[in-house]
Amino acid sequence: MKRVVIASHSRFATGLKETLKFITAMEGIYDIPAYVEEDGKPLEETIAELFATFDSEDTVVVMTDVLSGSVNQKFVPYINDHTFVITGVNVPFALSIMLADEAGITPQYIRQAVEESRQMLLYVNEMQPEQDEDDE
Amino acid sequence: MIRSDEKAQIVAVRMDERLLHGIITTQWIPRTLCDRVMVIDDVVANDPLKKEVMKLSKPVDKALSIIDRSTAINHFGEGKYHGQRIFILSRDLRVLPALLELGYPLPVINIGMYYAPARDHVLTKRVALSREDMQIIGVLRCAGCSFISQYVPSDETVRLDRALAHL
Repeated sequence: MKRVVIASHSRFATGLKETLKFITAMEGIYDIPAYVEEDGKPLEETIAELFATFDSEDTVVVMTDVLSGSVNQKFVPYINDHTFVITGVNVPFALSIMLADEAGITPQYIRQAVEESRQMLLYVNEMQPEQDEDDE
Repeated sequence: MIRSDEKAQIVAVRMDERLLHGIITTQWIPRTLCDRVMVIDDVVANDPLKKEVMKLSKPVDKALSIIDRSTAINHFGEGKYHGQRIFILSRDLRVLPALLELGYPLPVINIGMYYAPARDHVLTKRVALSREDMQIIGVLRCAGCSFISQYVPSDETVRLDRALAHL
């Protein structure tokens, strides 16, 4: 099955999960808001325990906040041909993962989703609303 | 845009207080074969700022109409949307009998979220109808229309016909 993991320094992961739940009405997102508790469990342990609950054939998509953070680094050992790690995610990217089914999540799909969601980071002040000649 | 020799076809009708918004764009429209999304609302169509804001929810590959009731009736009357499949969004039932009269059959009407100012009949937590609404619904039901309420596609569909028959 498809597993979606969102991890961040503090609570962005939980916030993104809540927003995705609101928009898509889908469940099954695992959020890891790291470093929220001072003496919390080490992050590697949290991650290992989560991955231990997955089947080895599951497709896993991990979305993290920033490339240069320790959070993202701790997922790198889990990368394989069906475990994908993407960093610097935005809501449009996360949606494209939520709305794809397991069979559709391929390296090609992820590459395309990354490119398309880059286009969704927009400076609204300078946007012209899309106007088709067929609009009214 | 599909061009054909056929009259415009209304493929979906949704009553939604919020008209065109995220859930419509991300969940309903992808599941509907349509060429044009049509918001029929006197307030939004005539308020340039509200109209611009609503355009931000425009689905990328569909034409978008945000027009008032009388414009809609005129355009349909003139056969303007020839060959197009149209998804109608409104929060005012009054446009629907007019469309029927112009000869456009209606699909099942989804009252997704509707709160009449006078809440004479509360059918579900998302559907509250006034006496005036019930009169219009009566006309539509006599013409063979049926009604459901479904907020998002993953929700159960609540069939309203029996409840409406008793009111």
